[in-house]
Amino acid sequence: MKLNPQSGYSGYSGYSGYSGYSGYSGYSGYSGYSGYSGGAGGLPVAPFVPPALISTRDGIVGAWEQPTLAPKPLGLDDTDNLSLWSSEVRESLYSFEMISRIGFSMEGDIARLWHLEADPNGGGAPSTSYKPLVNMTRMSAEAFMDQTAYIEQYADLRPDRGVEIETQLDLPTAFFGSIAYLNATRTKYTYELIIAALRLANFTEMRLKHALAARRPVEYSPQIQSIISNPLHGSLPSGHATEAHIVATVLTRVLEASGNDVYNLESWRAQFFRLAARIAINRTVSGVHFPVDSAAGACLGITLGDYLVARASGANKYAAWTFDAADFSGDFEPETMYDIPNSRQINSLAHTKLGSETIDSSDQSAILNRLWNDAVKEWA
Amino acid sequence: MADADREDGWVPAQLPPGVDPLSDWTLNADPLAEGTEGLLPVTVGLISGDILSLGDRLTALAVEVNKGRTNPLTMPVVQVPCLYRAAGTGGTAAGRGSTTSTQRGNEFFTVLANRAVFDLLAQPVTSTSPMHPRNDIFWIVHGPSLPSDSVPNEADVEETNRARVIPKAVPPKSGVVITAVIDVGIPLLNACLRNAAGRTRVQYAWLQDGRRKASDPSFIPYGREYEADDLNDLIDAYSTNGPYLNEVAAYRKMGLADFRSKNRHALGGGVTHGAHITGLAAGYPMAENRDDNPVIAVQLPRRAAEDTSGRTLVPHFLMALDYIADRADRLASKLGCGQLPLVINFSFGGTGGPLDGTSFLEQRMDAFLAARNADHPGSTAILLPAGNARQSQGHARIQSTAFKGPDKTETLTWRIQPDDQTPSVVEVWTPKGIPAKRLEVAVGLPHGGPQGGFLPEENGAGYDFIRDGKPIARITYRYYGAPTDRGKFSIIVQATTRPGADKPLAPAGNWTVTLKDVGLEADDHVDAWVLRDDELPGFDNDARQSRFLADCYKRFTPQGFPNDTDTPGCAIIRDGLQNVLGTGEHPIVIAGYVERSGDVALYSAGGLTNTPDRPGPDALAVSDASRVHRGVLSTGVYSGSSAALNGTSVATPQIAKALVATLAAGGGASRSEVAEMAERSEAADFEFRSPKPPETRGVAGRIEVTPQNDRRYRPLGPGTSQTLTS
Repeated sequence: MKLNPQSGYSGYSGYSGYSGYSGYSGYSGYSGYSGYSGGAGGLPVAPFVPPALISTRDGIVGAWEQPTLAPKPLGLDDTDNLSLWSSEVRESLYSFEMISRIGFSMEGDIARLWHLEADPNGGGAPSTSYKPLVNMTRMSAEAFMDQTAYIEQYADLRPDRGVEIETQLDLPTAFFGSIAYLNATRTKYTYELIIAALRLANFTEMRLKHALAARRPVEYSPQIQSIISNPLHGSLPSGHATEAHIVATVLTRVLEASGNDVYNLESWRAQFFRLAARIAINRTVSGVHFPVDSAAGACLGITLGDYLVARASGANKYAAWTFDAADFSGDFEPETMYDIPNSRQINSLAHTKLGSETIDSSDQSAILNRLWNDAVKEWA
Repeated sequence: MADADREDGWVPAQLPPGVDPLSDWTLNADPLAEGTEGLLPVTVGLISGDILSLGDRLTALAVEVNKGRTNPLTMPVVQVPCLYRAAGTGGTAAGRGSTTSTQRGNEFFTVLANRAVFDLLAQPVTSTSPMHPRNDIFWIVHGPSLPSDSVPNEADVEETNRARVIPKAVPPKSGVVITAVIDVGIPLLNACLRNAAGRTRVQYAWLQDGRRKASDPSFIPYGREYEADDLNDLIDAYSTNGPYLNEVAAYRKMGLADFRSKNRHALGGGVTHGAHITGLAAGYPMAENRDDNPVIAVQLPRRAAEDTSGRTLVPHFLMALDYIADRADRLASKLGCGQLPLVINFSFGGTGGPLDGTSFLEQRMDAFLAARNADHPGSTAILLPAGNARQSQGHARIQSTAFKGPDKTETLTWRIQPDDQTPSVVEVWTPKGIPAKRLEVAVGLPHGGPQGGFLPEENGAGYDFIRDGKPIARITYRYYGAPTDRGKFSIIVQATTRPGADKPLAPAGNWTVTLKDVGLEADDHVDAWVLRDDELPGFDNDARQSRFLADCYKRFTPQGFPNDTDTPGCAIIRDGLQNVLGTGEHPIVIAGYVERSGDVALYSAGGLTNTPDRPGPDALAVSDASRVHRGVLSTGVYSGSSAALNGTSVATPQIAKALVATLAAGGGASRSEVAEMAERSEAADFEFRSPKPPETRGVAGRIEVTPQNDRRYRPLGPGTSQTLTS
């Protein structure tokens, strides 16, 4: 499996192995994912190790004796086993748990994401039902064209933001990690949770981008002249906006659940969401996104973040949202979309709550639940 | 003025005598600008001082010229700001207090007018009546076209008049001193401009190209005003969603970070000139609770600020001074006290001018300060930077003895850069005296192109170089009467590049300006200046600075260091590039030095001036921490951010802040007060650094306002923490 998400940061899982996530270089770049063999065991592989082991074994092995005592079997489908697997394997498990429960449909011009509820049904074929998660539309080509005026003006900020824009080709973890103490060693499970959230965002945003097939700003004018290469997928919703907002949302929820009084202060989430908005806006500054893409991405990221937390934390409901870009005009105004003091998404232009949906308690993911509990403990 | 039938080459041109040579659309048309069909800010100098009747007089002239037809397109419109009216008082005719006779500098008014006024003044008129507009207007210049939603065009958003306030003849409120800042990108909601309770200290702010209020009355002739209550309402409204004031959202609402329009995101970037300057002039940590230092802010229009030649700045700067005086008096009235002390920081500058204190802006500043200080000596000050043009190769001084050959000529090589999207300008100033047979000037195109005829000192005369039917270069002569009493040859050359424009462009390369001595006195000299023409950080006018070239001008020493010394006998010199605004009688002019070494900053401009009153700037303040650590720290746009900027612009507000403290303690703010500060500091603070700089770089010497470490780590004051803002 090779993920090929947003331009710069293909291969989230490239951070397997000790060396993988010691620096950003481990998972930046297109080649980041290549190293199953290199770091799989987490041990350095010097040249000539296998021949050396062959001669070593020959020197010390002695005559074969059939073993007589079997190890105790590992538990079946047991979350205690998760710590035995590599972080990369765990990421695959998280991805399976999340993505296997997401559905998609296209109803006229509305792209719809669904939550798939699956009752275990005693181990037989699960009985399933789909529940709304996100509805999204695109705007008219004329409305997108109107939005190019913002890109022309935001270009004034390119000298200001150039370094940020280039750095944000990579995962946003360095930026969030400069606010909260997020680190792949110190807060290992929170880091995994964030990477899982980024994968959820990536899979779903790509499905929506494909479905809504919105042209990039450069296709409207030869004078946009974006300062980074144009990603090879649709413009709406913005993947960076989606990903930055899912991280802001999930980190907010982890800190809130930690029981740590400091992390319960609203200033933390205020900064997370300011950062998410800045990352989104930087994509308009760079010339690859319209403001409406950012608003759509913010809606998607926040909704998915809360949905992921609901599935992982044992909550019994989540909120479904709609972003109807056809009703949107003007600039991305992030402060109108999220209520910081009450820590919730709010209705704003083109952005409305679809409804509150229940998740059956028997439908929880034990794997995600384990990840959530381990992550929350890291902030107590 | 353009005429498709005109043949290419140099042809004689004639300009109406009152119109400033640079105030002509023909050479300034900007394809990106909004139309010039609406109302423009226009500064007009009237011998009579009778601004109130000017509109009627121009209308009468239009009727006469048009033989009774009143085509609305050709009818002049003059809207006189309420500041010059006297509503409610029944008293003087003009708000400034001038009545029948005018004082030096008081006869300049900024009004809103249309282009028809300029077309009208170009008509030949024979009347000798002193009140005829052609005879009464001795100078008229326009600013840039403003965004259409900044200018009142509908009756319901015209400026609303209100009674002029005259402070009581009682003492000011003790310890209260107003700081006024005229700049671009002033961060009105920044924490460093708020008190301990989070309320703003900005009492009045005028965004000159702000979005005009749609319904509520406006008390300014154009743009948008925010009073303290308006700003506090915004602070409240944008503090509800989360624990921090959401400055970017508030600025978006105010049209200061709105990326729909070019003119509406002055505070979009992280660092602006206005933020840095205002922080140094009036910024304190909130915890210091400096309610005794109210602030008045004026944001210049983007298009005026980016035109570094200064030729479009005039109306806005003059209007800003009048606004500040009016609002300072309103504040005194609100506090129930007499006229409050006032320190105005204007960290802008350019090159050129008579450089003897008599330019129009300098006259107006002197008159302004004289009026405010008449009954309250030393209570109002204007601070200006010395300018950063010292190494710009923008000044030539030619002694009359230096003209060579049988024709007695001297040719200056003027390098105009390719890819310059704005006009380039050179000014040549004659010695004092009415036009006479003394000096003639001719301009030549680069690459051996044709040279025009020698233009004599003849008021209103000129030559145009025509290409494809339109002028791409022009030289004109104008005589400026007393107190200037000098003539000026203005040479303006069209942009060398302009993507998408249909105008013919000027060639880049080495243009020539040839001066001919046809009767100069032995001790006369002639000055030529290249006007400033560069792109400011954060702006996008694609200007490129032209300069004089000469083999004798040495940019580097033989060892390879930057050279700060002029070559004897070389016409192109570093001296004499002092700020064109900075030679008046009263304003305080501040140069910059490098803190660590004590050396004058290489860029810090100074004398030679043409007035013995000012051999150079008044004093120097820190403009660079060291050669390696450029600039001084102050705030960025957003609360809690910081930035290092350098230049004499940042030296100036440090002295402004020091003078506020002096005034609060009961002292005065004047050039002599600054000179005393410098003498004290030179004696106390510079024992182990460079010796006192020469007078041309800063007459009274250096001032170390705060010890190095305090300034470095707590640039805006001690507060309760060591951060920029509490």
